[in-house]
Formats: sequence, structure tokens, C-alpha cells
Amino acid sequence: MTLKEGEESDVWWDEEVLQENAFYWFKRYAKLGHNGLEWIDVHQEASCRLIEQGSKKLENEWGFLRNLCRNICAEWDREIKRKENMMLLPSESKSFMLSIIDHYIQKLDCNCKELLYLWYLAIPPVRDPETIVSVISEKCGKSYKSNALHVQRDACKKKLAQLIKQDPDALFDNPDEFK
Amino acid sequence: MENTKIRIQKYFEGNLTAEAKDRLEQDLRRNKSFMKEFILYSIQGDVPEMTADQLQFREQMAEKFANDDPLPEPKLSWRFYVQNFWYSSARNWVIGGVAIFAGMFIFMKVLLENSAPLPPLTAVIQEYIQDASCENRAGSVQENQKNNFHRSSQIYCPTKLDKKPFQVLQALEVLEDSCQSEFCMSCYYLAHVKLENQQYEEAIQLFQRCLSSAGLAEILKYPYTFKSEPKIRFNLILAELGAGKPVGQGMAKLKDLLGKTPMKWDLHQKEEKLLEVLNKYN
Repeated sequence: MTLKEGEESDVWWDEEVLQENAFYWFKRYAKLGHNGLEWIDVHQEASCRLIEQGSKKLENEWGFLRNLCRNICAEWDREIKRKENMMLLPSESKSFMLSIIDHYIQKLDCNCKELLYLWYLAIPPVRDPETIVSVISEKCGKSYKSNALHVQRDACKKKLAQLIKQDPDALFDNPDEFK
Repeated sequence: MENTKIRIQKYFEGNLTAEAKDRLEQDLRRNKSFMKEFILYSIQGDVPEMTADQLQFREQMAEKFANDDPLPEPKLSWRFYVQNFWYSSARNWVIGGVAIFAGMFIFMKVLLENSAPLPPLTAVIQEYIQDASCENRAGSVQENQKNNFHRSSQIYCPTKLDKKPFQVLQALEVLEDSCQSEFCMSCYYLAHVKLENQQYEEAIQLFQRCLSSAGLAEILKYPYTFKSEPKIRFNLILAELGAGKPVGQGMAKLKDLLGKTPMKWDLHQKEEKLLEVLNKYN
């Protein structure tokens, strides 16, 4: 899917309602704000999903936009909780898992490496989008927009997951060797 | 495999018991393929993976949004909160709660009404008594009857709203005793006072006299009392009930009277209401 010229301004939903809901649900899920996200990110993701769905009249528009924004916030909230819960595991399992994640993060391209390192492994965690953008720009020479970070992170997580699934270094087969 | 995913999912949602959580942590240490699943879930979650197209589209959109002027924070009006409530699941809970509350309220009301002891019949009688009509400045009275009617009315009417004091009763009785015609208006007023004083047997006799041909001829000729006949019949029924006549018999008379009383009259509604009340005593 590519964005055609002028498409983004020719919206078929009630933009004011979408913005209000994006703002409201973002505030309801307080964790999002503490993890470098903005209400505009929710609005942006909701707009993307609406455009992907295709131009058609929305039935029960208000309710649809409300649920869309709420679902996006809930998905992101679950993502943050997953990361937090992993850190709550007993230290033996946690350190082994983090070392596997670290191992494969190092195999990714520079942008993903820095982005995921800051997300999963940095101590203390780096949350400020501007700081992350400047670190990536400094180390990898790639200048991301701060509002595109969560999209980039999704792309990088996809790559990382594929790598772990394939396990080219057979870390899961010989865990003792790896340790 | 599916079972594994559900366990992991429950772990991340915090829905595992302490025991199940311990088992999961043991499995993580022992079973490396389980650990692999666990790590993959912690990275990807349960949201379907984005395609390359979707990611590219989002990058484009992010670029476009970044170049636009930043959107101001919306101000949420009360309309927004009303709409939001309307589309939330809380709405069903609130509506359900209100419905249950209303249902319970109605149920309790009916229960209380049915279980409450009935007031004594004399209280009902007192509540439904129809006052006698009074002389006022309008209209005229024939000279030969003026004295009795005027005096009776003057005695009865100033105390109309209260229970008639003993002196009123006595004064009317004196007037009635001194009546030299077949029927005097003092009988009409005295009947009402007797009824109000719960002297039912005497009230019955007096009301029956009012309804005799001489009585009606007298009562109906005055402009103040010419519509009194249904009220007298109504009061007679009350007096009979007070005297201990069967309620069923009183209801039959009342139904008969209801058919004859014009619907526009207040009395018609009172008759209907009394019928309902008497039904409980029947």
C-alpha cells in the first residue's frame, strides 16, 4: 500500500472524533506516555488502519473510531507490559533470555540494533524519542522522524523475531555452550 | 503448541496462579523450545505481524505527519464523554443496574402495599364523606323557607371543613325539632353532621328522609342544593357501610350510582376510587 498524492487529506471519517478518541484513549493508557509515545502516534496509526481498510462509509462511525483508538492503545499497552513482565522473571531465566535477545540484536543492521538495544536492554531504559533519534543518527547516520520510531521498532522486532525463530547460531540447541 | 501459547499469554496478562507461574518458570529453565516460544511471544505478542507493505505505508505516513504542522491537543467536551459512555460496555451495566433497581423498587412497593394492614373501614368512610352544599350570596331563597334553610346553613357551613362540634349538632337538632313542615333543610345538614360524628344509624334515617319525595322536592328547589341527590345517595351508602351493612351490598349500590352520576363530576371519580378501595374489604 502506498500513499497517493492528496489521499491523506481526503478522509471519509470524522477527523475531529478520531482526534478526540485518540487523545482520550492515549490518556487512559498512562503507560504509553511513559514509553515515548504521543497521542498523535495513536491518531497516526488509526489513520493508517482506516486508509488500509479502504474508502467506505463507516457504519456506527463514532463507535467504530472509539474502538479503533482503544484497540490500538490496548495493543501498545500489552506490548509494554510484555517487556515489563519479562524483566520480572527469575534472574536465571531472564539473563539467559536477554543474552539471546542481545546476541541476535547485535546481528541486525545498525538502525535496528540501536533501536532495539535502547528498547530492550539499555539500563536505564531510554524513552525519549528525540534522544533515540539522535543516537541512531550519530551511530548509524540514519535520520528518522521521531514519530516514526514505533513503526521502525515494529519493523525491527519483526526482523529480530525471524532471526530468533531461525536460530542460525543454534543457541536454543546448545544453551550450555552458549552460556 | 496451542496450550503453550495460552500459558504464555496468560502469564503476560498476569492471569496465572502462583503455582502455574512457578511451573512456567521451571519449564523456562528446562525446556529450551518453550523458552523460544516465550521469547518470540514477548517480542511479537498476539497482534498479526505487519507486512512489508504495511510497514512502508506507515513510514510514509509518519514522514507526512512529521512535515505537517503539529496537531493541537483536542479539548474534550461533555458531548464526547456522553458519546463515549453510550458506546462503552458501562452503558449496559448502568442500564441493567437501573432496570434491576426499578424492578426491585416496584416489587417492594407492590409487596408493601399488599402486605400492609387495611385501615379500618370507618377511616375510609370519613375520607370519602361528601359535604353538604352551603348557601352563598348568589341565588335566592323563598321567604317561607328562608328562616330554616338560612339558619341551618349558617350553623353548618362555617365549620364545614372540621368535624362538627357538639354545639353544631345540638343547634341543628333543635332546628330539626322545631320544623313545622313535612321536611326542613335542617334535616339535610343534620344528616351530614351525624355521618361525620359516626352516628350511622341516625344518619341513615336522616338521609332516607332527604331522599323521600318531600325531601327531594325541598332540596332540589334551591339553587345551592339542586344537584345534591347523587351526593346524598353516596353518603347514604357510606352511612350504611358504617352501620355494618355488607360491603358487597354497598358496592352493588355504588356501581348503580356510578352509572347515574355524570362522568364530568368529581363525584364520579370518587365513586370509582371508593369502589377500588372497597374491593379490598370485600
